[in-house]
Amino acid sequence: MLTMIVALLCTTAAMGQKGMEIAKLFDGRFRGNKAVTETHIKGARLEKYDLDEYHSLTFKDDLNTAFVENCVLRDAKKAVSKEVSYVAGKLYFGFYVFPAENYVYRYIFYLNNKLKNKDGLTVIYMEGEAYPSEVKKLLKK
Amino acid sequence: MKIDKRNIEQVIEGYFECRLTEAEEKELRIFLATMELQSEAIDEVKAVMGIFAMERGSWEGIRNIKNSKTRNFRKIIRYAAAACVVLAVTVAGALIANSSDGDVCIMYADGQRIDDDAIVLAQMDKELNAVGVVDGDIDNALFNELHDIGEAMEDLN
Repeated sequence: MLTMIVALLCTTAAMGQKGMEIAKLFDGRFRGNKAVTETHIKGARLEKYDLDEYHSLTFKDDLNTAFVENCVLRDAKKAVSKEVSYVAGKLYFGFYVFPAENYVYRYIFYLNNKLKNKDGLTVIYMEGEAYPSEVKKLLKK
Repeated sequence: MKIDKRNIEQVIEGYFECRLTEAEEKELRIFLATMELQSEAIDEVKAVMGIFAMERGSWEGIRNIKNSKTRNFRKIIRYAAAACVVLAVTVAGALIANSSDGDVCIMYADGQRIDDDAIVLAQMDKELNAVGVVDGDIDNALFNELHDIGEAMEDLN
């Protein structure tokens, strides 16, 4: 019975970015920064997508681009699946899938629109039971 | 442990709670068989140990054994009920902890915290849309590149 309780706790608790480099980005350091938008959603509002957590940062300026790209590229080494695109030797787009733990996948999306002379660098962390194909469907096309 | 009139009740309690060693239990059995003491607890333990029945050989002894069995059963039921309550409280606590941990819907923009669900969810849609457009472009670019390679190979053939 105790095992059941422990299992219950383990399966439902969100992992967050624990053990990932991008955890440094989501520790709240950008919350007072007017050039950064941070979005954090967890729980019931994501149930319809089979996700537990959505956490993102959008940067209007270039000041943190190198730091963000570096964190993402370090985590990318542990990804089991990735789709990437580079522009002028810089990471432009990245979709990374990380190994599932207790049937929970972790995903990172990275988009540096500044390399295409558009606004914004966006990094998104997602976590949940949704399969990679389902997560891709979330992206509006 | 020396058993006497002063500590007999405690020893009996220890017997019912399975705290006595084998040697202590043997000592208790000898004590009860040799001493002519009477109390409810002593009668009960004698009945459980079979001493009472042997001494009197009466229906009263058998009835006492039945009574003690009923008491033991009730004790077990009480422990089981307490365990169920502890378990229920633990599970409920775990579920509450998880559900309260789950719900977050916030956004920080221009250095300000925003708790409006509609705005936060709209921002999520906007971000996913931006990423999705590029993802689609990359898929198309990949398809076009493969298509070009395919055409080039056909030309070669």
